[in-house]
Amino acid sequence: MTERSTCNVVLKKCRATAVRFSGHLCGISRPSTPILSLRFFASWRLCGYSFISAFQRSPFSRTKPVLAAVLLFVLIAATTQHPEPVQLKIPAGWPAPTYDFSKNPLTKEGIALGRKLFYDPILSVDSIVSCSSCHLSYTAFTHVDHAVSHGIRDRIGTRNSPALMNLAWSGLLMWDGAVNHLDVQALAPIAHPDEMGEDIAHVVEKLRRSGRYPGLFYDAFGDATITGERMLKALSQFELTLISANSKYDRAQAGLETFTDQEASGYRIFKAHCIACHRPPLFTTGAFANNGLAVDTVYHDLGRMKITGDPTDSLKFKIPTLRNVEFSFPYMHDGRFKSLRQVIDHYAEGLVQGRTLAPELRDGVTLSKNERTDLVAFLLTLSDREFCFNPDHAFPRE
Amino acid sequence: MLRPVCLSVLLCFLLPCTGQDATFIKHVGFVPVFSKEALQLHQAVKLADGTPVTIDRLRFYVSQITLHGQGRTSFVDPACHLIDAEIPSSLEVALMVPQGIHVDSISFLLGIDSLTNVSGAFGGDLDPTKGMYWAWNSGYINWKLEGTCTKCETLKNQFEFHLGGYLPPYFNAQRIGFAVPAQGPIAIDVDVAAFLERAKPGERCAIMSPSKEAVELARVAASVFSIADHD
Repeated sequence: MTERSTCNVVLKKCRATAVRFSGHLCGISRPSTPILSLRFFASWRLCGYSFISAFQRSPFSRTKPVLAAVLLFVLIAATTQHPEPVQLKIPAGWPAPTYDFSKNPLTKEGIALGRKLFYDPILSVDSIVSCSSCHLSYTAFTHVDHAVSHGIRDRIGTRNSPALMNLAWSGLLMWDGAVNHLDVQALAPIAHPDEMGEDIAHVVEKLRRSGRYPGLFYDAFGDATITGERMLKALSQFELTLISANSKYDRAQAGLETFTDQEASGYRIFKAHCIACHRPPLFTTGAFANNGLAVDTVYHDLGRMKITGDPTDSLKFKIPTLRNVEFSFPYMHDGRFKSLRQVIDHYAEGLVQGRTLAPELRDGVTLSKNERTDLVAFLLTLSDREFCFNPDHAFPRE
Repeated sequence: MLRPVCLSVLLCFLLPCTGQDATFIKHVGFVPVFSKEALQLHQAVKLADGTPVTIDRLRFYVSQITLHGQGRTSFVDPACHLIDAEIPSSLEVALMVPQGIHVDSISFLLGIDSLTNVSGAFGGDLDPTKGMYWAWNSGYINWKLEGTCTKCETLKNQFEFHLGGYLPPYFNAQRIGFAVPAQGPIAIDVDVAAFLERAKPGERCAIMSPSKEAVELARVAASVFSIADHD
């Protein structure tokens, strides 16, 4: 190893040490300007000493300006905020997010940790199933082509995995609204015997024993303590970054693109029949509705009523977003429809009248064959390929 | 001439403030008992009617501990505490109370309030790893009592009373209050035998979700708290 490369190694190590110390001084989870302390100076002095030793052996040993510049660089590295705050970009014209970021401020390191956890099968009991098993980034974070998803040991669940996007605006989660906050959502699949079959306490224990995670938690939260709260909040941080707002529809709204005649016709039909429940810009109201599906004969799933115990909630399911609906087939809570055309045919021909049927559907929906085709054309304008193929959302390759 | 007067006036305002900064520790202890005896986990004991039972787990949340004096609120503890019969250190809560406050009664919530239940993930005693959070239906379990009873026709005769729920009409947390002596620690008995005699394992062996029955049992659980006999 040459003297120069030795010097680079020392530089790298000292920078890491300085960064860690600055992270340590930032507090638990709130990024703030590092406070200099005696401990920090002690560490910094050690780094400085290593530099001096290295430079004394280098061709630049007598070059004081270079040394000063390197030390200044170390000082800057040490005083850079770690974890590094990240401001979520809210699409123009969108409402304020419902997620309270003050209780879980986004940071570069927190998002990276959440992303790693999202793709890591360590969350499941057999270390085979990860969040991404049922929420694939390339298909808008859903389990494409599976009516209901399969979890550990090929066990089959009872519900279609929802597409994940725009979660900073989400209200109640899951098809029946069983989960009341994004931070606690991951507990449900982790504990479900047909999904990951794990126990959150055991997952945290596995993360603590792992070689890699204590350092990642250190980077994200300022110390290496791994808790259920931190794990869940890191997952939220990554999920909150999954914003889809760059479809043809969005560009047309911004005047950057123009709908074809067929898409424009479909948009008019959408506004006449669908917009009440699938309200832009999120293309959902986040509410629960009975959309006239016959009760499935296998699961007898009554939806929201299972949670509230209220008969007026019978057969109501969460209204899903229509963004990226092209990729999120099959459709409905049990994945009974394989194509968008089948979904539209259901609204036009297959509505089952019932006590809790959505008022908007009580008089039926009349759509000609051509109108149905046009409506599909409009729905395809909600596809956001940039979202699906965003490398920041994909498996974290290192 | 005015300077000494100003200083005196300033001191008059500041001196009482410095006095209020002083605090002392007020201990509030929760003592799991079975009738009149200390609760022994994993040991066969008998209810009043002779039914043999074994208690394997007793955990509950205590929050919003409030001290009252002379008809006013003297102190409110913002923390939530997980009391676990298996962890002796969890049985005592140390409150940092301002000096000089009047205390003649205490009240607290057996369980977790609605706002906390809908505010995401928390750490410490509220961390979901503590086994007191429902994964399938968001919300904290306020009271968890598990054991065995020969009257329960379940796997290994187990009973599991997991009481929780934050949404109306099944809001589960219960407010409990007692008169207490002005000085000294406060010790509160939690009589598991009294709970089981009214919960009647055998007639019901598992409560695992928010429901009317869970609310009724939460009221029973609240009724088995009492100020300990200090003799």
